[in-house]
Amino acid sequence: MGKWARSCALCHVTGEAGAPIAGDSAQWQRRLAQGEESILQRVLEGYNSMPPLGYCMSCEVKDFRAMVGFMAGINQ
Amino acid sequence: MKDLTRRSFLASSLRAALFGAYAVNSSAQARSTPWSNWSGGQTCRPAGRYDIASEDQLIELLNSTSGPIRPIGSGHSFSPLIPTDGHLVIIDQLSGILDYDSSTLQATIGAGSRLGDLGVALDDIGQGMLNLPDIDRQTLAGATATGTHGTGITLQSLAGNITSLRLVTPEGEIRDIDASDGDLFDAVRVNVGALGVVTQIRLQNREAYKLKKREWTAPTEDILTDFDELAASHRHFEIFPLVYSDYSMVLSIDESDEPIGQTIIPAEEVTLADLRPLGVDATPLERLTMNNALAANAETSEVVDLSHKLLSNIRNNRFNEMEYSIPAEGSAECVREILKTIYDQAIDVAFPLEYRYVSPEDPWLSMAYGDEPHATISIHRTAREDYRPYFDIIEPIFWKYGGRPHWGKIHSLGHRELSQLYPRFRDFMEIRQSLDPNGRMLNEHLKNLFDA
Repeated sequence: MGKWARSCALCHVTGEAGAPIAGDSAQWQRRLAQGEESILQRVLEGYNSMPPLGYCMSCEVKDFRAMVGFMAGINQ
Repeated sequence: MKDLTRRSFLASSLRAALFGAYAVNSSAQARSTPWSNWSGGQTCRPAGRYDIASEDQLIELLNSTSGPIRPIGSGHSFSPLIPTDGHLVIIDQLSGILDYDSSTLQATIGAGSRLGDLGVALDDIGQGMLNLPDIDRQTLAGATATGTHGTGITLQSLAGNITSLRLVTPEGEIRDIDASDGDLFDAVRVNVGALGVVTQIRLQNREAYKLKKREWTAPTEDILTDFDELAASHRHFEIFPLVYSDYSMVLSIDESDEPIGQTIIPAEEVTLADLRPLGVDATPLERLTMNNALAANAETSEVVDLSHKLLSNIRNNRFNEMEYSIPAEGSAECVREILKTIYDQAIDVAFPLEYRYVSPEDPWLSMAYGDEPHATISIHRTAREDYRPYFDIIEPIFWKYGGRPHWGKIHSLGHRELSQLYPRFRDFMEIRQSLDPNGRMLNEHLKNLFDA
């Protein structure tokens, strides 16, 4: 949770720069429809306004997977 | 209402996580995921990434590892300050306001604090930073180490407002450094991450305040002619000269007691979004005609907000950037030459330039070191484009005017050129050598800068 608060939350709490808001299942379902791996690739490489690694310099793929699940409301 | 409640909960959780005490459960572990900077232009696969939660963990790391080590903030530098096959030290757990004094309006801050979060936290204790750079996701340590600055002929960079800081040297020694340390203080405030790891910074602030931003368009030549007078008559004044146009987006910011207005949209991104469709397959003359028509009809806008919200915010488009400072006197001619070069060589770019004045200041490696105001001029390229051909053409123009590069932005200079541009550069190299005799803080890029 600490890593999420220091990185993803910068944009995914308010939806800044078009980021899907944490807990808004409708926004996340649209993205998950493209596949979780696609989302993870965008996190690692950057996508639109989101920089590579989404400001979490210490995160591993498993961390990003858990963070996406948390924001999308999916139990990991 | 349910949604608002959830957001409020998330926001309060975030604040608590960011501005509580140092986290205690973090570990320093080796990592394997590749690292990349904000623009994606710099990458590396370090031997380890260490998410430190305390100075003790940092010292333990320094003492228990060998090889290169680079401290990392939010990865907003475009230049290769970070890439290493050694170790990355992540400092964003060292965040929050650690101490403050309401009489001196100073605050000691965890160096890993992001500027955007810091603005809110300082406002809560009645303080505001004297000036801020454009992007609020940067950490205080990264922004100061690279000499990152805002706008204003009377306003110093973030590093210029440091009253003291704590440095953990490459040999694991804690040093608290202030003006009484003389040369060391002037060397360490803009340190390019080459002297050790800064963990705390004490800033001179002021009482919290509001600002009013006004944006409009005007003929570039008219503004350049009057630039000195305009820069002196506003707290902040800058222009974004539009390429393939006779116009600039003009931006002034001054203190205000008016009610807070509405959401801010970065001026240069409005311009970029508006102009991009016009650039497709058009000749330079066609672009000029279209852009002039658009700019001549642009509306003036005004926004009032808290200082930290108005000066610094998120960027909706990722890019790479080159920025040089040159003496303010005569700098308008450099702007003219860059605009003419883009037009004459039909360089396919839509981003405007950025042109502003900054105050002289004392940190040795500041772009504005010395006694005279400097102008800074920036060029940009979207992150998905190859910036090199454009930047390679423009960079020699900066050199003609005695330009000093921004440490965190793209440039091609080494220690030979830099020692001519920065009067105390060799002194900095000596202090670096004394603090880091084994060169642990140097990656290949920094060796080119400092290892003569």
